[in-house]
Amino acid sequence: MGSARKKKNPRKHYKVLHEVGRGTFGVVCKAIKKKTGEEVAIKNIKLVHKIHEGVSTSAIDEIRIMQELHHPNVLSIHEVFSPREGTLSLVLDFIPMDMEMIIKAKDMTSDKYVPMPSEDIKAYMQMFLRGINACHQNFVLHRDLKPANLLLSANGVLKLCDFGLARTYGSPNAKFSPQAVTLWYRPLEMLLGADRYGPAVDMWGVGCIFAEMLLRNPLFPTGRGATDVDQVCQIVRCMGAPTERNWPGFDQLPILLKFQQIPPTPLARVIPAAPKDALDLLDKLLSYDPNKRISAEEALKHEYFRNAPAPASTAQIADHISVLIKKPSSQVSSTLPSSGALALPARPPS
Amino acid sequence: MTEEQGDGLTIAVFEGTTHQRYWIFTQERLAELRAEANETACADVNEWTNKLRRAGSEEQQPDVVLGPSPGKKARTECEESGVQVDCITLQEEQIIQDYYLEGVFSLSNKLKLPANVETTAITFYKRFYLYCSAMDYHPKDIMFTVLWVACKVEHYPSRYINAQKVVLNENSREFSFDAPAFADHGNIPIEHLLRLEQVLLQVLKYHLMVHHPFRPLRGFLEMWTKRSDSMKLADDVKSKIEEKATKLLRDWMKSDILLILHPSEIALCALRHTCAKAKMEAAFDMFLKDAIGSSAESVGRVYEAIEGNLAAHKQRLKGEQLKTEATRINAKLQGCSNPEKERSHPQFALLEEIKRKEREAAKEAKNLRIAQEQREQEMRLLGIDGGR
Repeated sequence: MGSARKKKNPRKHYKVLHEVGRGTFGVVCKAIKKKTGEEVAIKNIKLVHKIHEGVSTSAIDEIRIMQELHHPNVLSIHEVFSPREGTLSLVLDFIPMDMEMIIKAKDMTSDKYVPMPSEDIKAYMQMFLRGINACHQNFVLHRDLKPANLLLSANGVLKLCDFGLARTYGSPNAKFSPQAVTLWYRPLEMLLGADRYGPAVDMWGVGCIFAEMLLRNPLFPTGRGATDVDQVCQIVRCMGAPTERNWPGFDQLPILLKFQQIPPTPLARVIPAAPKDALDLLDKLLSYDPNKRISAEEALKHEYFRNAPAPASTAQIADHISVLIKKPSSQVSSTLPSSGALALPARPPS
Repeated sequence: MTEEQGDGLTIAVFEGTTHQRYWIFTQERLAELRAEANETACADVNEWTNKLRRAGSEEQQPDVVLGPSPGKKARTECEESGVQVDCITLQEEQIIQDYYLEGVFSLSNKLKLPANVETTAITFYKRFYLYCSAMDYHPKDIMFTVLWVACKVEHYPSRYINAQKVVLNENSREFSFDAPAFADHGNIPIEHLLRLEQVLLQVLKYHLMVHHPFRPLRGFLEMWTKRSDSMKLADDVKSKIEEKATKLLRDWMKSDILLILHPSEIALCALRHTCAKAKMEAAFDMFLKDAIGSSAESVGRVYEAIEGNLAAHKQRLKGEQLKTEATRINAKLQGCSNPEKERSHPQFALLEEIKRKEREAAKEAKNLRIAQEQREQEMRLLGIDGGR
């Protein structure tokens, strides 16, 4: 019978609590799955019929990619449905804590950073790399890695999220926009206009975020309204100018800049507190030449993860971050820390 | 650096994908699903048509073609009213779907769409009609919709324009207003297309990753060219074989094999077929054994399955014959399209009105029941329970 074929509107399976975020795409709400009591986030994507685009390509990409990725360190998509004509709803895990909050967490009373033990950082890195590796093995580039896109569940599990810019690669003619990736985490080859790139672009971002966890500050921060060239300068001031030796063929990229011969600053001076094995891994992640940059799979085999101290267990991490969740004093300030706090060495103006 | 990740990996990577978990069927299951879709649609059309008739008889006679439906069992409430709509049969369903599948191909050809867009569009089309009937959504509209969505999914440049009609423009290779390339195929209003886009996504269960056989094909050829011995494939031979095998694969996609077999199996069979034509069987068998570790027999078995499917496909109507039949079925479809499914259906509004009334009646009944229960409870509380 006709009516027997009718399914109940899936929207009714959820009790919507309140709004948690708002973007250009639409609104994210916290909700409860009535059957299980599970907390979920519902991302509502409004379809723009006015400009006759229908479901936007970024929504299509996000749905397409998240439906395929099933990994403990990748945010899962529970369900997609259309509550009414003109709207799509994505039901995702609800996770209120992200890496940016952990990196910036300060104790209000003493105004000191809440410490991030090196075991925790190691565990974060391991989960992060496993998530990225899962993406890359499925031919998915994330293309928007930044601390805010690494979520931490209350059980201490790190989950990659936000696949709105992600793309699948592997088709022979696919050219990509060099404009993806938040500026601070964008690799030099993209800044110089490369439109054919692979998983290595994500690995640069992994390196930047690794350094940020160790430093408690972004590695290559630039100010509001900074341009690609500003970002290039920021990177080169720290890492030195690319040369034909450390990056053969870099001058073949679409954007050719004349670099002063700035020597690289040893990473040990940039991040003095970091252990040697961590610096070695970081160095391999921040290789200028994308072909030499370490892959997620190789990085997971790096001695950093085998050496003491062992990575913290998820239970330990859950315990550590529960302090941040409970204490309202460890609120994250929305302004960026001033660059004066950076542990970067003074360098000559370029 | 290149993005070419041509390695045989795809085979392992295919495990756990939505393609593998939800969209690979047996031949029998495909037949079942198609029969179910047709049956359900028939039941729907009959139910709604009769409801409309009853509602319409109060005001005016609805404009529906009525007649006996040979071979279709009456299983709806139309039995009571004794009216049965002449629905299209399963066989007619297949013919009309085939006709517009050819339309997807010819459009894709005219627009020179790349193989991945074409294959995704065809796969969407075939997946869609496993769960819907041509009576629910007209294949002509779905033909446009699958191309539209496939272009988005595969990131094919398609900045579409216009207010009224969406067509694919041959020169700019875009969806745009009224192109001559489209004259044979007609147009679709944009609002209609966008509504169908959502319907399509829903029927596809929002599974939008389609694995094509082209990547494993490149992967196998890559492996073959990287061999260090005398059986190494020369680069010029490789590109020739790749071109031929790709063409063959595009042709194979007309059949159901992408709903039955894994993309890498299909790729290997296309490679085998191409090599056989080029008198390279021995070299292929060697490569198969060494590099992939499978025997010629195991590929042979898959190949037989493909052959069987292709042979069945070849039996179907073609060319003018297909067109004549399709025209006839199209006329028939006018009388048995499902009024519930599409807003542009002449009786959609009336149907919505009936549904609204039904909902209100149900609500009313529910309220009555609640009121009744409340009264009873109050009476119990007041101790008048059982007093009567």
